[in-house]
Amino acid sequence: MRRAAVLLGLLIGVASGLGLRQASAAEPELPPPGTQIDAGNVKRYAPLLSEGALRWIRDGAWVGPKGRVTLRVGATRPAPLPPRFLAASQQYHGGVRLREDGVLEGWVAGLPFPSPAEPDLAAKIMWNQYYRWRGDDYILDTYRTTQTDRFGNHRETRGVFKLLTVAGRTDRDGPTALPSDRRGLRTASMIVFTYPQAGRYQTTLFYRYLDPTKDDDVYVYLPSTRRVLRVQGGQRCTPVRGSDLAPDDFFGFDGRVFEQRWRVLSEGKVLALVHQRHVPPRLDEAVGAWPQDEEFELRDAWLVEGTPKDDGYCYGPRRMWIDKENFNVLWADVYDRSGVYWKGFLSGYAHYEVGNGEAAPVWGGTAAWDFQTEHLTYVAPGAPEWGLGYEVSPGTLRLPEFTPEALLRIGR
Amino acid sequence: MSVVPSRRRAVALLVGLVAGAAAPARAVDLLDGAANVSGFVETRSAIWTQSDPVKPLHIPGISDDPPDNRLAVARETLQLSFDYTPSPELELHGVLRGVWEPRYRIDAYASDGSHFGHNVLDRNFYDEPPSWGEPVRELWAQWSPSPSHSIRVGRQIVNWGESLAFRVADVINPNDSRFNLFFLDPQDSRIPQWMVQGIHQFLDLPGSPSFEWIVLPPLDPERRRVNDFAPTGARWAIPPETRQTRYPALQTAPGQPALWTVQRAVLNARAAGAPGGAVDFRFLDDSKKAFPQETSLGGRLRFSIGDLNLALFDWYGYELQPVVKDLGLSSLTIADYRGVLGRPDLADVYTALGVPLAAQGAVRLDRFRFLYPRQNVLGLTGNYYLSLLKAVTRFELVFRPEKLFQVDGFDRVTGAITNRQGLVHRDEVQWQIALDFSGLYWPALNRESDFAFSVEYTQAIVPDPAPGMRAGVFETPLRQVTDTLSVRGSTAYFYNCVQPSVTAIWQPEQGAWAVVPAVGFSAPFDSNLTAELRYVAIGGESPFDGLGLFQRKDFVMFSLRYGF
Repeated sequence: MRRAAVLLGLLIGVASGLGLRQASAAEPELPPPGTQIDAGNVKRYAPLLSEGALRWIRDGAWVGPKGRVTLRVGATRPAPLPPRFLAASQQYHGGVRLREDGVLEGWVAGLPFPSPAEPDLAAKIMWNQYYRWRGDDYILDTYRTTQTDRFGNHRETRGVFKLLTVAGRTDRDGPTALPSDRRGLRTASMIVFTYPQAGRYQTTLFYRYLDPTKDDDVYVYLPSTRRVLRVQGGQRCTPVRGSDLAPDDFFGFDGRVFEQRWRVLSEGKVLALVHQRHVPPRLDEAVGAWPQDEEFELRDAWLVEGTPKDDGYCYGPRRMWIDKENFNVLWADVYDRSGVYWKGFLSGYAHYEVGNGEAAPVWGGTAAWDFQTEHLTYVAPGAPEWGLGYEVSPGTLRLPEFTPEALLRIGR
Repeated sequence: MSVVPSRRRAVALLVGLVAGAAAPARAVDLLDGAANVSGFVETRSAIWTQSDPVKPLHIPGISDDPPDNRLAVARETLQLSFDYTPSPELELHGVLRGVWEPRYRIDAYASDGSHFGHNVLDRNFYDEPPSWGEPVRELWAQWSPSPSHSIRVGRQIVNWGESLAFRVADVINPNDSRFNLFFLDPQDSRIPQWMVQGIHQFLDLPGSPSFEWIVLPPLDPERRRVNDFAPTGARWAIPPETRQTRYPALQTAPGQPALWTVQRAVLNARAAGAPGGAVDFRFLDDSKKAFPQETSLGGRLRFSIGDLNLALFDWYGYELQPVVKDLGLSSLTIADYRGVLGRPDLADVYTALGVPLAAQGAVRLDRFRFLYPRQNVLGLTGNYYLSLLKAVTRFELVFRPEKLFQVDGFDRVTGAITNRQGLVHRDEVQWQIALDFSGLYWPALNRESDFAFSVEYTQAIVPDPAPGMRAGVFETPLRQVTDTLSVRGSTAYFYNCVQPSVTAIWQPEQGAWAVVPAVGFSAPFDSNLTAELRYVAIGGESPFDGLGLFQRKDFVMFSLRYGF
């Protein structure tokens, strides 16, 4: 009798397991262009959305029915990487090696794994995301951060963001690395705060090194003391004050690949914003959580999950939808250490001709929703303040503009 | 004393703040972003929670009780900044600032009827400008012919130091003590100087070096720490006399009236050398320098060795804190006294010494000169990232060879004059090491933001001190070694809307300490509207030494600012 019960239990277990697998493997219903996804029909398309998006469409997140958003589906269009970048990927990928500890060696330029495949597919996807195309240089005047609390209060910060690719340059003829660099940099970037007034001209300089195991170097010019203060750049998972983003959250994920265990959960279609119509995005006045008047399209993506190796890391698993065509993070869902859903991220991209005449996917903004503290941050391009505009790969930035001395020159 | 006009101004300012908070908060962009005007209005108030009794002085006509009015600061500021970038190579920047303050009750000692002056202070005595003669706080043009080279010409601030709390290698701009609580606000505490600064980068060379140079001509009359022309005992007088530090307990000799600390410091030889004689004082300003031979010059070389950033500098300028040189006695008539001194307030001091001026006909004048000594300053600064600790260490080392110190010019026991000028040269070394932790994330305590901690240890050494040696005009003899430890911690809650912090400073040799808990507020609906509540608790064994100068002067301060 007891044996029969065990057998029955096993059978039920296997059957239910097969059923679950079958259910998860079932192709989701794909919405045709023109479909409006809202609270009434979102359940049908839930497999095509992140948990965060689902909560906003279905429930209005913590705001309730007034916070509900709709998602309009548009036609899928290509969003390829620039030809020069792809050519560099083909030229240099043969020299890369993925070590057992997850560290990548031998990268020069382009994607290290132009056609990622097993073994270590997930890690290869993430290294491609780490070395994704961002333009040899990049001026964003102005980036704007809007924070909204559970009571509907809005706060705003603004600044000018610049990025210079020091190694891995592909947008123009010439060497892949700037010969004047003696520090071994991969990228140098800076933010000049312009708003609020109390932080005006506070400027932060970030150095990311070619050695991916080395911590970032960070320098801050403080107007109150009129000098440059070196600060730590190794704590990657601490919320940036006043926002819902930690440094690892930028662009969906901006962390150190080898510090996580990666696995591919699935691959297939996802609805994503890769041809953003409005840059700056149009945010609804009341909540500011969702880009308005946009069309999301079906994209081929991997759903990759990263689990931190460090027990002291702030987050638990992070699930990301990575675009197969350009390796940008489209959505991310982050859980806390106890497995409870915590934060959701939406990143939008536009696709247009950049400074070297090639079309490329350009960042259009990232929404970060904290469902536990009911607070959100939307980081996106804003209206230009310094007359610099949003220039991707203009070919005008130079390394001496990204030094502590340059911060003194900017500072006042 | 009346503070009504100030109240009106404060109310007007508050109305402006409220109205401003309701308006779109945005700097004014002009010429398609090439020009920009921004600024802030701020009101800052502080009251003493402890107050010195004046009993030790016992001045006729002035109550011995502490004043009922404990207003320490009512400071209202309007600042406008202007930026214009006509081309990528050329930038113009200017800052205008107006500060209004009332006359304070606690400064009654320096006003009519007090022991230290018959003159009534002007209504705008505490305002800046025009009292300080500073129509433009900052004004410079910067030319950058290439990203590697730039030259900035104009009135500006340059800081070569690494310290957050103290000034070790920060040797170029003088400190501004006009703000009664100046040490709380580093932005307020430096006096901009007219100078030329160049920065040149040579990234192609090993170590990615850069060279910075400064030429500071003696154009700015306010290139000193304090305003020694302020009535004695008033704020802005030399350091021990600023309001928060003055302490009326010293006496020149038994049976003689007490003197204020600074006069004790200045008069040491005179009072002892000519007891009962006709003694008067003259303070000569030596801060104005001749051009071009007294121009200050400096250069700084910065480079990296791996993760270690280093800077070497040499600054050949003038010390920011004066010493007092005794110029000797001479005889003057009363008319001379009035004419030459131009300091009627000092008549009371003279009277207090028991030598009625009117009866003298002629007085012996002892002249003292404030010297801002020419000084060569050699410095080494650096920082290093400690990847294991995820922390940054900073350090500074400054060497002043043959620095000019003030000494007691007489033997305190015999009264014999031992040093006619009261000056002596000695080497001095100051160094500091600091450790900064930031980005510390403890979600159990705070899920929304990080914690930051900073520890700074500073030491000043005079390897071969002379007896009775003092720094500048301070009364307390200088120690061979002076240590200072400061610790600061901070975090933020409610997404940066509430920012608690605490700073603690300890000087072990002096048994002195300060603890400064503070809470900053940033409006959840407008990050341009900020406020801060701060309490400053100070203790020290010696009222004339280091932090002890501030003994029994605890205060609480509130500030409200709206930026635009």
